[in-house]
Amino acid sequence: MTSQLANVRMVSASAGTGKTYYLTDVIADQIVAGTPASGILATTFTRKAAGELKERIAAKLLDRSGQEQSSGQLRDAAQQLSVSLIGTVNSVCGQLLREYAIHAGLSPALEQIPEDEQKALFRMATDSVLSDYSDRILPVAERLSLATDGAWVATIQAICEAARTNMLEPAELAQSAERSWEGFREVLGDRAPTDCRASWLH
Amino acid sequence: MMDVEFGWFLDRAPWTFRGSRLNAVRVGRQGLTQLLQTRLGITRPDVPHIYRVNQYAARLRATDRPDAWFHRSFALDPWSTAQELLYARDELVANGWAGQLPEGGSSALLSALAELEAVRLPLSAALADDIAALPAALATPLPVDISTVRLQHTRNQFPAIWQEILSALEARGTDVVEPGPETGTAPGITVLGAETEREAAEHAARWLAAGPAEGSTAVVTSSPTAILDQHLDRHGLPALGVSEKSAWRAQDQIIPLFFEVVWGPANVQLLGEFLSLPGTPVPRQAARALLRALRREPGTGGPAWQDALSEIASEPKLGPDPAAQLDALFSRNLLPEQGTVSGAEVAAKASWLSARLARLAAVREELKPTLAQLQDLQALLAGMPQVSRQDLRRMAASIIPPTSDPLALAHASPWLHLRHLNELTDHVDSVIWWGFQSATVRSARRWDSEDIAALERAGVHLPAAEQLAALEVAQTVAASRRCRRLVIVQTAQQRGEQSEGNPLLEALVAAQPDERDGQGAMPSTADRVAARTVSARKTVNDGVWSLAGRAAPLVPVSRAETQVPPSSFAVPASPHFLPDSLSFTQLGNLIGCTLAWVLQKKAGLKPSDAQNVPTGNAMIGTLTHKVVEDLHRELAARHEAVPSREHIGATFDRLVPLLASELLLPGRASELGHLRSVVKSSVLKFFSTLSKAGVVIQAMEESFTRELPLSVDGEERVVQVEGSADVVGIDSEGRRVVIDLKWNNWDKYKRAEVREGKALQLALYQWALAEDGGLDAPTAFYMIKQATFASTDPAFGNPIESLQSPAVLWKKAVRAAEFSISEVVNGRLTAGPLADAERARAGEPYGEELAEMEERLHGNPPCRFCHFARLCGLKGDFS
Repeated sequence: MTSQLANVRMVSASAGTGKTYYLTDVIADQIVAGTPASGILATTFTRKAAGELKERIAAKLLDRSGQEQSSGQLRDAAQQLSVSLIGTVNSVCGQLLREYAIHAGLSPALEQIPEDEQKALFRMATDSVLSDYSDRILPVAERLSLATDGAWVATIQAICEAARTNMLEPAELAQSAERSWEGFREVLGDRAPTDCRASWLH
Repeated sequence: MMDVEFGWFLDRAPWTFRGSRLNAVRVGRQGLTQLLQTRLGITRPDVPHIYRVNQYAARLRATDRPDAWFHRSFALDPWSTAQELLYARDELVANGWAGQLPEGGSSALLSALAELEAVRLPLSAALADDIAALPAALATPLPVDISTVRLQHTRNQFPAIWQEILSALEARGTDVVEPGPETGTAPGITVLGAETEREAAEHAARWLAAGPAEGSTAVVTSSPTAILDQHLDRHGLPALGVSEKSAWRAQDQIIPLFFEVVWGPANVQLLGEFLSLPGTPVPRQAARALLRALRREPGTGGPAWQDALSEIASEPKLGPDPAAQLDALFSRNLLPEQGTVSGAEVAAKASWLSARLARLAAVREELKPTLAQLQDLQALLAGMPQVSRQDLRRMAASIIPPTSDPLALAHASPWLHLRHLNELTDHVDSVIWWGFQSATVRSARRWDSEDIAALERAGVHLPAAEQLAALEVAQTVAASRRCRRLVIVQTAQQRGEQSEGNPLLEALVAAQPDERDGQGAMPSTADRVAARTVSARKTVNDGVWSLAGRAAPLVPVSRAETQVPPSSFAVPASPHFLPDSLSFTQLGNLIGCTLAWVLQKKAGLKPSDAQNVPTGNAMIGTLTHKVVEDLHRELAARHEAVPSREHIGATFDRLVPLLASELLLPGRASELGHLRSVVKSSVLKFFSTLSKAGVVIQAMEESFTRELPLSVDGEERVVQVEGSADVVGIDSEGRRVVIDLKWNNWDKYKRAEVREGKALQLALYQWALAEDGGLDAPTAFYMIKQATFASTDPAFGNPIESLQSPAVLWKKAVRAAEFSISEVVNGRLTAGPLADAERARAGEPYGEELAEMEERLHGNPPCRFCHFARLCGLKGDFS
C-alpha cells in the first residue's frame, strides 16, 4: 500500500489556510521542471471552484514568470492552460473518456447524461431484466407496498447507485443481499407452522 | 494584384472596418485556401460531410476484424467512430501527412489511420486535402496575382505546412510581410462583474448607449446575445443577433421526427408532435384527422385511426391514395425496431417526405434547406446495405447542423462586431467583450508526444495543442493593443449555473504596463485583476451611473406594480353563453369555474393538438375501459359472465398497440408487464363481483340524452344533458345498475365522494337513465388500478355509508347549474377557487359554506389539470 502511495502528496488543512495556494505552487514547480501544459490535470467539485482554480493557476504562473529565471516556460504555460485538464471531476473525466473512447471500446459520441434523464435511461437499460424478474418481484413488492407506480424499480435503482458509489462488484452485492435478508429474517422471527392467510381473507 | 491579410483566426473576421479598398481581402486559412484554389484553377465541388463519413465508414468496414483497434467502438457506434477517425485523419492530412506510417513506433491511432489510408476505396477531398495539395499546386507556373500577404502574426507561429505555403508564395514573387514589433499600448481594462447575464446585459447596454457620437466601438460577442439584445432594444439600440445554435428549431425537427415515427413500435407522442409541427409536411386536413384519432385512442390502427383514414379518403382534396400512404408510413408498415433494415427501405420511406417537401418548398422558401438535407440523406441511404436506427439518428444529426434562431436578426449598427477579440485588426477606441468566459474553446488533444515525435521524423510537423493555445492568447493580447479601452463582461452565473472564469483575463492584465509600487514591488496578478474589477452594483453614485469612462444620469421611474389578475371579469350580458348541452365533465366545470368553462366552451381556447394525445393515467384509463367493453361483448355473445385470466390477457395484448402503443416502446416492458398483471386480476374481480351479486351487464358505453329543465333568472330554460355510462346492468331485483370505471392513482378520493354524498357523476347517471325519475338505482365507481368498488350498495362488497342522498345531491347540483348559468349569461365570469380565496381573506363565507347557505353544490374544479391556470393567475407569482 505504501509503495502505491509513494508518489502521493496529501495536503490537509482547514479552509482558508492556503491549500489552493500550495497547489498552484506545486503546479508551477512542475512546469519549471518540464511538465507541458497538457500534462497538468487538476480537479475540484464545483464549476465555480474549477474556474477559480484555473484563474489562480494562471495568475501564479504569470506572477512567478516575473520573478524567476524560467519565466518563458511559466508565461508559455499560462498561455497554454486551455489544453490542461482543469475542471470539475465530471468534466475532466468526461473529457478523458471522450479522448480515449476508441481505446476504451466506447462510442466517441459520449454525452453526459443529464440528471433528469438518468432515471429514464436506467429504466431503459434494465428494462428487459426487470421484466424477466417482475413476476417474482411483484408479489413481494405488493406486500411491501412498493408495487404502485414502479416504486420497486426506484428501490432497485437506489440499490444499484449505492453499489456503484461504493464500488461493489456484483458478487459482493449478492453477498450483501444475503446478509440483508438474514438480518431481516431474524427480525421476522420463525415462520408459523401453518399458513392461514387464505382463511383470513374469506 | 491583390493584397491579402492573413491570420490563423481571421476566417470569421469582418472583411474590413475602415480603409476599405478593392483587391484587398482579410482571410483565415480556409479563405486563403479557397482564394489560392480559385487562382490556380483547382477548385472542386463541395462534398457534404456525411458523404465523407460514409466513405470512411466503408474503409473501416474493409479493415475491421475482431482484433482491430477500433473494432469494439465501430461495432457499438459505426457512424461516430468513423467520424472521429476521419477528423483525426483530416488533422494529419492538413499538416502534410501523405498516409504513411512513420518509422520508429506509433500509436494504435496512427497505425489504424495509416491502414485506413491504404484502403483503395474512394474518399472525397475536404479542406484538409486542399491545404495539403497547395504546396505542389503552387509549384505550377499558373499566376496567383497576389502582390502581398500581410501576416497577422509572425511566420513561425503558423503550423509548418503554412510556412511552406508562404515560402512557395514568396518564391513566386509575393511579398510576405510579417507584423512589426507591437507598438500600441495596452488598453485600459475594466472588468464588469455581474451576478447574472441579465444584470450584465443592462450595464453593457447602458455603456453602449452612453458612448460618444464620434469614435469607434467594437462589440465582441463570444456567447449568444438574446438577453443583451433585449436590453439594447430598451435603450433604442440595434440588436447584435447572435443566437444559440440549436437542433430544436421546428424546421430542423421535420427529418429527425419523421425517421422516429416511421420506426416501430408506434410512438404516438412523437407522431403527435410531427403532425402538429408548425410546417408539418402532412396535409393539414389529414394531420388534423389523425391528431383527433390519437386524442381518442393513443395508438395506431384502431377504430379511431381507421375513422380518420376514412375521413381523409373521403376528403375531395386528399382521397384514398394519401390515406393509404399515411397509414402505411405511420401504422401498417413501420420499420422493425430490432436489427437493421436496408438503406434502400429507409430511403423509400423518405421518398414520401421528399415529395411533400418539394411541393411545399415551392411556396415556402425556408423548407428548401430541409429538402436539400433530406435529398443528401436519401442518396446516402440508398447505397447502404444495412442501416440501424442509431446510425440513422447519428446521420440525421450530422446532416442537420444546429441552426440559429431565425427570429434573432442582427440590425445594422455603428459598431464593429467580432466574435473574438483576436479578430480585431483595425484600431478602435473602445471594445466591450460580451461572453468573455465562453471565449476560449478547449482544443482537441488527440496526439501524444510519441506520435508527434514520430510524425516529425517523417516530415509531418503537427502543431502541438499548446502551440495553438498559446497563439490564441498571444494574438488576443496583441489585438487588445488596438483599442484604448477594453471592457470585459464577467458573470457569476450563466443559465442558472455557476460559471467558470477564463484565464485569458490574467494574460490580458499581465500585459498591462508595469505597476510597481513605491518600493519597486509588483502587485500580484490576482490583485491587478481585482483592481480593475467593478461590481455592477457599485456603478451608481449620486444618481449617476458610470462605467469605464462612460456615464449616464439615472432617472427614477415609478415601480411597476405587479397586478394580480382579478378573480372575476364582467363582460356584457351574453345570452349566447347559455350552454347548448352539458356532459358530466362540463357540468362540473361550469359549477366550479365559470371563467374556465367560458374560455373553453365559448371562447374556444384549447391547447395544441400534440399536447392532447393522452398519456399516463388518461391513456391507461381508455385502454382498460376498452378491455372491459370488448370482454363484455365477447362474453355476452357466448352467454358467459366471467372471463378467464387468459381471455383478459389476450384482449389486453390485442388492444395495447391500438390504444396505448407507447407502452410498447423500449424501456416500458416491465411497466407493461406489471400493468398487464394488475388488469388481469382487477378485471377478473370486476366481472366476478358482478356475477356473484347477480348483476347482469346490459350495455357498455350506453349513450343518453335527457332534457334538464332549469330556472335561470326566473325564466324556464332547457339544457340537453348528454353522455354515456361506462357500465349499465340490471340486478336480481330488476333495478338498473350503473358503474363508472376509473383508473386513478388513488381510490380514496372517489370513496370520499361516495361517503360524503358528492358523487355527482353517479347521481347524474342515475337521473339520466332512470325511467321513473327516481335516483335510487344502485351505482358504483370501480377503481381498476386498486380493484376496489366505491358504492353505498352492499352488492359491491363493503358498502359505504353516505352522508347525503343522491336526490339531495342532484337537487343541489341543479341549483348550482342554474346559479352558474345565470352568472355567465349575465357576463359575470369567475375563477371559482380564486374568488373563494378572496372571500376567505375578507372573512366572508366562502366555498362549501357559501354554497350550502345557498343550497347549491359547491364545485371543486380540477385546477391542477386546467389549461387556463396561467390565464386566471392561479399559477402566476405576483409577489
